[in-house]
Amino acid sequence: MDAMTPANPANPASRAGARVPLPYWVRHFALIRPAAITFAVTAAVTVAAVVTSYWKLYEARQQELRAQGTRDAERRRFVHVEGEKQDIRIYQPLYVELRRRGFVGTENRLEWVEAIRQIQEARHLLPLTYQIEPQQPYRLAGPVATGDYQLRGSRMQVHMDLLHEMDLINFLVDLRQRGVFTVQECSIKRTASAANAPLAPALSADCTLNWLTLTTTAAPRHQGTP
Amino acid sequence: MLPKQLFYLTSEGLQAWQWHRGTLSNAAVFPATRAGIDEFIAYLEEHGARPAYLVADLIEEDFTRHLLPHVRGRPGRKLRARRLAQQYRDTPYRAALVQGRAETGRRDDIVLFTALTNPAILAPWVDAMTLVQTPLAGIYSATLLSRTLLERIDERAGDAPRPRHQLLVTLQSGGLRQTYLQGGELKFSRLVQPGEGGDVADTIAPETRRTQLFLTSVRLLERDDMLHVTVLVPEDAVDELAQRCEDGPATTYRVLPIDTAARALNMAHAPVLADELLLHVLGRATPDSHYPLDGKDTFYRLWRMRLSLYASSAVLATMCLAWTVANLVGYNIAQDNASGLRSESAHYLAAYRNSMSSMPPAVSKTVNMKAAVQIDRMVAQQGPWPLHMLAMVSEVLERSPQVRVTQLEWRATVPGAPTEAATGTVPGAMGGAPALVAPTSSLALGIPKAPPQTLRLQAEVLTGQDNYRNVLESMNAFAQQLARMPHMTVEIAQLPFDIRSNVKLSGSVGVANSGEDRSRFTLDLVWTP
Repeated sequence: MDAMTPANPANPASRAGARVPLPYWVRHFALIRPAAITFAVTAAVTVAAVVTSYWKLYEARQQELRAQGTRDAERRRFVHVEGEKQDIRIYQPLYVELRRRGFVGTENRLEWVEAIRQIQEARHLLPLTYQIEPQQPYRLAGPVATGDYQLRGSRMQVHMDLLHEMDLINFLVDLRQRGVFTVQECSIKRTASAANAPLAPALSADCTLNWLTLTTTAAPRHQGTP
Repeated sequence: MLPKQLFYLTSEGLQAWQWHRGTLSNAAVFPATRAGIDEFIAYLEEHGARPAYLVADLIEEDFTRHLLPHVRGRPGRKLRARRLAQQYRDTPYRAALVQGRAETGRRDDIVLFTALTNPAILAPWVDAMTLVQTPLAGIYSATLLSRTLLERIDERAGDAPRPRHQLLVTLQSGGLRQTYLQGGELKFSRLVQPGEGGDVADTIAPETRRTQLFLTSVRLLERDDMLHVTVLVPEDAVDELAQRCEDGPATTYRVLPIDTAARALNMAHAPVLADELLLHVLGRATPDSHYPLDGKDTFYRLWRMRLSLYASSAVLATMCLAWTVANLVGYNIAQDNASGLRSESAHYLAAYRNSMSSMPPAVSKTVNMKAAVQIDRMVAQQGPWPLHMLAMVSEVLERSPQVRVTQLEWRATVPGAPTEAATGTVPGAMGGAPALVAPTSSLALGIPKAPPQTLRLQAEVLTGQDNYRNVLESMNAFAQQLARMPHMTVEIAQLPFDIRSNVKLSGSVGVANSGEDRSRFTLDLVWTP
């Protein structure tokens, strides 16, 4: 019981080796050990019981919420079943056409490139160049229903030499039959060599187009045919 | 109330009592001998670890009154402890009681110092308790407990004002105890041992006179002060004692049967001696120890710690059990609700499928089909398309044959869209690696509404040489025709030549082709569909 023996403060040697006496409850811990063990076991068991039961309750309430959401959705779907039938009759043919045009599904750049080539040949247009940038998602500005789809777009820049301004207009109108896009900007300039030769380009045009597709979020992106 | 042990210590021995449910029981007496101590140890081992309260009723108890400077808090306590240690340096059982402040002067504190001046009487008993690890809760003075006893008796007697000078005379194991209180505060006490074969009744009156003389001598009593003496004696001795104790000019006796005090303390039975009265006061109230224990209360503190741990365990278990039960009840309710909701879902799903069975298989979800068609319609109807503005310009140009367009720059304006410099998407800039850009707003596509469109138009007026007036009029007429188009605003960005008064104007006349540059102008058109 050295720890209980107070050191003599007058003796430097003993002061150097002095120990702080243990607290009384440590010295006599045997007297409170059963109570301490009881408290520790009680606290551990009861807290574990509370945590476990609370976790089970939380899970059950989450399941209840999910079941309620599912029930509400099923009920709404059943209540509007006639309207849905009508929608299917109206929208399904249009949807099939959009899918054929490549608006719905994975992006098909090969189709666009072929369309440009075919229009150039059919309209006897002067040679043109284009550049398509990587596809990007669009940020919807406002409450627009997209279903399971995400609206994505690929920006294409086109440079054309024109004999007449109608060449550009015909090109855009024909291209619109082959896919869904919008025009972002377009500039037409009168060229300096307009009067030098009979088939010399009179105008040049630079346009930026946005090719649009609706793709499912999990759909893989590829450049091949669907 | 938890059971406890009450010990009453006199010079001759120690009485041990068990306090349970407000009553004293199982009295045992141990003489102050070696054998008595051994019996006491055996008694303590038998009665386990109940907390013990020791009341000392000894002759060797001293009281002194002091006036100390009024100091509050820890410095005050230190001052009193220092003076107390100087006063009673040989005993650890000492205490200082602050009893108010002086009426006059600097209003010092009135402090009563009291001590058990012979600690050797207590030592064997306290050591015995320490030996068997009895939780000693406190050491009390029978004198200080007498003050509470007299208060209870006076409260029982009624609402009459308490006399200023009171002397309580009680018959206790240690002898005849006389306790003097002034204004309800204990000032002095003495224990008188009746002589051999002497009658206690014969002792009370003379000893009271002697005490009164002493109090007068130490100026606690003035000569004309009335001393009210309360004597507690057994019921059968009241009448006889009342006859022997005659009131004097400065003394008034009130002889009460001890039953009165017992009733005041709600005791079931009246005791013979006042010992049990004082133990009862202690058993019911359990005040703090009158004297410091200096480590002798280690086992009492451990007992309290043990009790606290058990009580905390019980409270914690109860609360957590209630919480757990509430959680489980809520869990069952939620499970039942979820089960019911799932049944409803299945019912609606079956009804829906039954209704949809007449339809051909859908190629996609209805919401997806509807969304795709509506977005396509929005893009087709509201999406920016340059042909609208070009058609309007073309229409005006047909009516203005003298104007020839040299350059058109059409653009759909999107709020917050990155600038050309930032994105590097200048029309015609075909070279360079494609770069990823931040998501663009769907307003650029006409979703949900059509964006404004701008057109920068550069043109020239085909007119005669140096005919500046005609050039300006042709340009103005052209611009006004454009401005008359619906939803169109026109701004002249560049004049053919600037005729404002605050700018410099230079030119030449008669020089060939001198007016060619002067016929060009630029218009900014904004069309909001």
